[in-house]
Amino acid sequence: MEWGAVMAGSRQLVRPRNPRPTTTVVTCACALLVVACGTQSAFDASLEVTIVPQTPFDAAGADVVLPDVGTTGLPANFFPPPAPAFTAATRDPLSVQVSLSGEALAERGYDYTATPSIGDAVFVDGWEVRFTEYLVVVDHVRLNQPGADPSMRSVVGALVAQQDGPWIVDAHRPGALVGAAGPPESAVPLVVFRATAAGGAFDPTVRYAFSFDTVPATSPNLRNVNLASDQAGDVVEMIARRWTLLFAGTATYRGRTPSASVDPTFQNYPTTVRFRFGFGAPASYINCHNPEVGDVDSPATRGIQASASTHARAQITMHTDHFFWDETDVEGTPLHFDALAARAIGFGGDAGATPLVAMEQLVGDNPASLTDALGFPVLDRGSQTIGTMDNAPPPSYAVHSAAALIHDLRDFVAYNSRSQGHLNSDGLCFVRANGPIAY
Amino acid sequence: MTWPCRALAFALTLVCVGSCGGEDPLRRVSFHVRFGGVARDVSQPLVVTTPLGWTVTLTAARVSLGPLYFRNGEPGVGTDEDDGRVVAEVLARFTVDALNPDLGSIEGAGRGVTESARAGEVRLTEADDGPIAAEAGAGVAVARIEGVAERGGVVIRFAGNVALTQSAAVSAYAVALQHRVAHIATNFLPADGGTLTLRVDPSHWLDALAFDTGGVAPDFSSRSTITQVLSGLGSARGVYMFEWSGAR
Repeated sequence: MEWGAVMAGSRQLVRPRNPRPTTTVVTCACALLVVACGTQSAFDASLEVTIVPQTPFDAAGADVVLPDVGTTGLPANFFPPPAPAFTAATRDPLSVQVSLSGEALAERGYDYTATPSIGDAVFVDGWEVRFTEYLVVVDHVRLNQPGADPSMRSVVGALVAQQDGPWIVDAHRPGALVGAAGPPESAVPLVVFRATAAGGAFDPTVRYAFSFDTVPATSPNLRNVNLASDQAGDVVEMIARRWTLLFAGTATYRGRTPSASVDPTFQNYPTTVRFRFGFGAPASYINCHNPEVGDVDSPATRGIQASASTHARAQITMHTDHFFWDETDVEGTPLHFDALAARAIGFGGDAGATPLVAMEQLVGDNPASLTDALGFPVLDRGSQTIGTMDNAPPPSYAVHSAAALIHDLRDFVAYNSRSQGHLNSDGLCFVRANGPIAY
Repeated sequence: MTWPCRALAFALTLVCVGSCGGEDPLRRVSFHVRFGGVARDVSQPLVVTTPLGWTVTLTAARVSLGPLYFRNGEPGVGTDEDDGRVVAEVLARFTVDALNPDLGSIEGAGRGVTESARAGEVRLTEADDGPIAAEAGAGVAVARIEGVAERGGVVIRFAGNVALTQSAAVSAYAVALQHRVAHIATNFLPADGGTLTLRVDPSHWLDALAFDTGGVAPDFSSRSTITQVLSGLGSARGVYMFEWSGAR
């Protein structure tokens, strides 16, 4: 029987994908069993009818628009943050140290180069991107027994231990730990598991399923991990608007210079754009693959295993690149900023203050037919980097199976960002949406 | 009961408890497959208004499909491809006239095991024969769309074949993705003699198609047009709907 074809091929920047397991039909092989168990009937063959209607639009795609924020709303004693939950010197046996990293990319940003090395993250349309902050809220870090059926990734076993925040972390700020990907990546200490919920020690022979949530910022429970007091206004806004993520920075065009004969459409594009994107994309990241166990994602390489001699690392890794993808549902697609620059406030006008683009400017922009703020198509000025492949550049981003959830470019970038959580650098998790996207 | 009989009965009980675990083993099953367009009044044209404000009357909407795969996990969001293990499949290829609710059928085309299917996947496939191939040629297009779009007095008659990228410049993986509509929510338990019905609704196929306000018909040979059409044709929700009915 030809069970489930495996997707073929690969391309640059696509992270390792999970080969599908084959179906196994369970049978009682022993004739004695037939005698002992009697006739096996797995289903009622009567005229049972199960109909699953599908609606054109999922509630997860609905907008939640909340009022503008005020100046209050921070939890008490929010600043300064408390001492870290652990340090780089902490090595407690049978403990699990949970940290968070936005990779070196959140800290240092994305350099532009026309000749990137294989695997380098680069904006193929010539932009350099630097962040000034990358705020993310996580909660409900969980260790579970492995699920009974390894093929059912989203179904894990009994809860072994759980730590609740919610914690807000600025992944742009370098942390005290060396990141899972090695220097220059760093990570911020979050919390430590030292015992099971029942009070016992972790079993070093068991690999526990690792899961966590991204949740809306809420007061009064929000716990500050590493934010400075000058970020208070951002936190207040995140709470008021139920955002899970807020990041800001500056994009600078470093590619070839447009002229009347080269990329003429882009002569009027700004070359420096400030961005500030905030939204709520609550999700559960379940039963994550652990690349430190094995590169290939499979049931055998998922989860965290405690060590009898030292700590185990569980680094929640937020991938900043998802927001800039040109298609959905594919890890590591080429990155673009032109479509965002084209929507910046002041686009096409006289040069003045540095243009700013936020989520509001992406409303109504069809990701499959991208236009600038003046209504003209956003063209592809790719071919600015060596070795990148043409997948779905402007003016037509690909939404694949997610079309019903995506109504415009704002939905597109938020949808892609809902899969940005990983374990120990690149470990994929099962992603379950936990509510509507909030803007 | 004599001692040997008691011993045998005890041994059988141990085997049953230890091996069966109170759960029934999976069995291989086969089922029938039906397919057609969404149920509607065929005496009236199918008229939809797209999010871009175009009123579209579809006069032809055919898509070539197959194989179909069904997995036991819940449909994920985003980049996770792991909807679980395949528990049912339909390897046949067939063309659906999405405007015609009359059902075609393929007896015994579905195979699987007795385990709930929760995530569906359909593959768009280039038609080798039938009405799509008659218009586009064999092995060229996965769908054929015709109709009229109107907005603000601008009327555009359009007709085109949806041919997916086959260029050597595009990776095999990207090409495979274009053919794949995954994460379709479903819920049925495959059973011998049952029937899986697939209905295809074309109402949202053209949601993302940017018709030219100047009245020029969309160019179905352009990558942008195809990408826009695929936004609807390849959507996991609201386009491909599965129903299961037990053995007849």
